Amino acid sequence: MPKLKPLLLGTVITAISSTNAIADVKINGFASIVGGVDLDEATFRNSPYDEDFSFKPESKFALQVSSSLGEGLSATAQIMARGSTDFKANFEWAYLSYELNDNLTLRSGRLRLPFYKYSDYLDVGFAYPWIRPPKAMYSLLFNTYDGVSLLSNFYAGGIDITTNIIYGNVEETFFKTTTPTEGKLEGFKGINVQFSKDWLSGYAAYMYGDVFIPQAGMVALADALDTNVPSLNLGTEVKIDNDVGSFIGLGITADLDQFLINAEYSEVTVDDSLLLDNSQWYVSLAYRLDSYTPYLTYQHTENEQNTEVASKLSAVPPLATTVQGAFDGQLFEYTATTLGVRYDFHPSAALKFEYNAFSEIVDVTAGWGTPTDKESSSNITISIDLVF
Amino acid sequence: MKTLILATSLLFSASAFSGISVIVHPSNPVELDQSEVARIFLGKMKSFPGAGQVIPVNQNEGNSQRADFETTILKKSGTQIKAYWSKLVFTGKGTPPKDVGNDADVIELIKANPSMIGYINDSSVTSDVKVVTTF
Repeated sequence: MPKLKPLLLGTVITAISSTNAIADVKINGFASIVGGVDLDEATFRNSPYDEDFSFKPESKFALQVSSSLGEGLSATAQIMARGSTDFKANFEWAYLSYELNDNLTLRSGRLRLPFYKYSDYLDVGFAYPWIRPPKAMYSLLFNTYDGVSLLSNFYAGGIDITTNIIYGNVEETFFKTTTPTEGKLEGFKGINVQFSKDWLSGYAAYMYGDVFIPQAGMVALADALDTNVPSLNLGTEVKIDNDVGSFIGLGITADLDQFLINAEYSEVTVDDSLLLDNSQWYVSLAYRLDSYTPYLTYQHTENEQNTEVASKLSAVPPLATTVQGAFDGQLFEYTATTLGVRYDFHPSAALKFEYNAFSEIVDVTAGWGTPTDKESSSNITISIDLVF
Repeated sequence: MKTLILATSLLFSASAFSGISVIVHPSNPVELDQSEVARIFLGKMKSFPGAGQVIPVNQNEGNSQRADFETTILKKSGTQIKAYWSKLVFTGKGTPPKDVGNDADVIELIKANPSMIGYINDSSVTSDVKVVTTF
């Protein structure tokens, strides 16, 4: 036995030193197999399921290849196949990263927008207790941008502070489930600052940019306004024509021995458009009990009625009614209570089971409730999350 | 058979009665407390304080030293550590320390590289390495 050791060691040393000498290529991956079913006949837009049990809407597979080129330079690409897009593979991330020094890293390429606490690893189910981050909060329909990111990390007084400053563009199909429209966010810039000390961590994020989404219905309404009351110039106040969109996010996490408490809040606005200002928050409590982590989450999302444009049309009552109807058609509100459990049955895999009850639903365009008559719905999901 | 029993009992008594030593190259003048060691192994500290680059090396998954180190110094379970690294790996923000084997493998690597830091069972410590802290 002692004679074998040096040989074994030699192999390990060669493996490490040789991978350091030439390009060090790493392949990692993760997968989530998620199945779910709605417990009600009608489909609520924030439940991707329907009455038939399905594995498609939320299952995903991803492979990441990263190569260290030496001198702090590395290249990373993550390819993901989602059930929701028929497992068509797509580059979720693809970027070059350059470590300027121990505290600063510059990244360039396709990156994740740092909106929320879990934005960066939104798809890595293994990294969080739930089957998915709370949907009321994680509701923006785009996650990635093409541009640059400057990451910095500093440590002072026992506090780790990490910032991510971004600049870039987003090209995306918006309103995917209703009226798919190619749109873009240009000159999107922002900052996300995180701190952590012992068991406590938190973040604040602010981002803004010009939003352009020529959704057909909005454009038609704008044209009608410009034709009927050209003097008021109201068309631009309903369509999304390079309007300033902004995002504010705040979050706090307490990661104690057995308890994991998460709370986040965000506000999203797109000025001078039919889109209503919305705000959302959640609080989640998870309790670690050996291999089991039961959790409870409460979420809330709501947008605000906008009567500004219609009030300018008081001289033309039928038009005022049509415009107010268009704004009110965007009204959306619900709360959700999630009860679930994560079971770590393997060092690299977790099994999860979750029950979601949605209530106070107002989603006029999707045929769910009105501000005075709210509805409810629920679903059950089960998942296996892996990392490799 | 007797030697085997003796060896087994020695192995058990060793792991039951000794602690873990955090080790570096003998030429490395660094002084670290346990929270700094934790920051190094969690990828938060990339250089020795006042010195050069630091390369932490891990024991293989399943070794009791690794489990002890994770629970006592990193204050996280193996699953939590894996979840922690998956957050960094899939966002290009960090890579976990390499798994290099057992006590003897860690010593062999560290005695040849002043940038490395590792941890081994107290009873395995040799004059080839310097102990920074024990627990």
